[in-house]
Amino acid sequence: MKTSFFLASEALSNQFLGEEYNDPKWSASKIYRKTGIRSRPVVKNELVSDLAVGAAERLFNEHGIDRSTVDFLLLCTQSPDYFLPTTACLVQDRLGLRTSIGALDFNLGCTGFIYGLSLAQGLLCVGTASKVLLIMSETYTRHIHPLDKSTRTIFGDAAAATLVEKEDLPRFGKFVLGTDGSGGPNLIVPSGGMARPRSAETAKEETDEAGNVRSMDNLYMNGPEIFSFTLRAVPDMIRQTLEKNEVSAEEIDLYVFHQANRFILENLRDRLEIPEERFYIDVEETGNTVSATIPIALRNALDKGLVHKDSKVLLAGFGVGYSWGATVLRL
Amino acid sequence: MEEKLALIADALDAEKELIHPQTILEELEEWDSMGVIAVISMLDKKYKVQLKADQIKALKTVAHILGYMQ
Repeated sequence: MKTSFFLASEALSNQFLGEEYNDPKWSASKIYRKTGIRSRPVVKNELVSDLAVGAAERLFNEHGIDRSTVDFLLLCTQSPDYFLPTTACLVQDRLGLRTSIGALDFNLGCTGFIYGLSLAQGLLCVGTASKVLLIMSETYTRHIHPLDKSTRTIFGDAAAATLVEKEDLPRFGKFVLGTDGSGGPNLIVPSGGMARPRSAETAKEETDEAGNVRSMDNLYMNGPEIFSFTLRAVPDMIRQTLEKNEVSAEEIDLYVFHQANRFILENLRDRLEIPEERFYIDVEETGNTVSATIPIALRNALDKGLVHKDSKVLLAGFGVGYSWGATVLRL
Repeated sequence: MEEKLALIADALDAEKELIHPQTILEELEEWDSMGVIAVISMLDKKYKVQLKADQIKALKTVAHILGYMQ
């Protein structure tokens, strides 16, 4: 399984945010203490398709992949270029992939990579495809109001491209997946879809009790409830994933969770009693890039030599939906 | 009791003198979303309690937090 990633062109630093907010509770050092993030990549004009093409081109170059061998494209995003057509179709064309291949988008956030792997596994297993290009591409910052400190300090924009091949099938473990749509309102862009089309009404800005400004056109996150959901859902999911894959917690070489922010990750690590050296935290320079965090983290962990070919990793995603999912993978 | 109040003050990064059972959370400057998250984290770590959305919303005074610290 080969992965490359592509970050949005601008870097948004804590120093810049601290100066802009001019609020002692949101100084550069406090933002770092709260989130563990120093800088996040943000788009200026780029679209999800641009980041997706950037990541895929890098994948082809860095790993010497012949693009004409790709026979399925799966693209995960929640900030597509258009309602329609499908972003994956636009990306097929821009990448110059064959026209005799399947391509589709799927709409998930922080669990996109896990669900994408399980979809790719299915396509490969039944022989519909032999080389699946799996792209996570997200520009959440386009949903974020610049004066919403609770989200702007956390999210970054990036894409990751992974090639999943038939030969990889023996490396796949079993998946544990979960869904609870009752949590939908806690992480949401309330307007812009058919339920509530954008209008002058939805664009009206409001300031919440913490001083964050947003309208219904923007991303809303109920931080405390999302945090609490994570603590309720993730430890159980990890236990089930180990059980289902018949491995002990000690046999996992590296735990690579969705890189939400350092605070959440440290809480989960403590709760699961995973030793620091086997629990990956890497948010400083990228922030929370939603579905792209897990493949970016995997690639960085490989580059740093923390894992290598045949290492056993446990991947876990959790978030918007609510949706959660985990699996064990032999690299 | 003193110990529990100290845990709450510590989680909120607030002065100990400000934390009494009758303290109204909304009146504390530290009771912002990060403060709420820190208290949820403390309850999870020390007392293995995971609050649901309505339980979080119902936290009005320090006594309510103490109620989960059994």
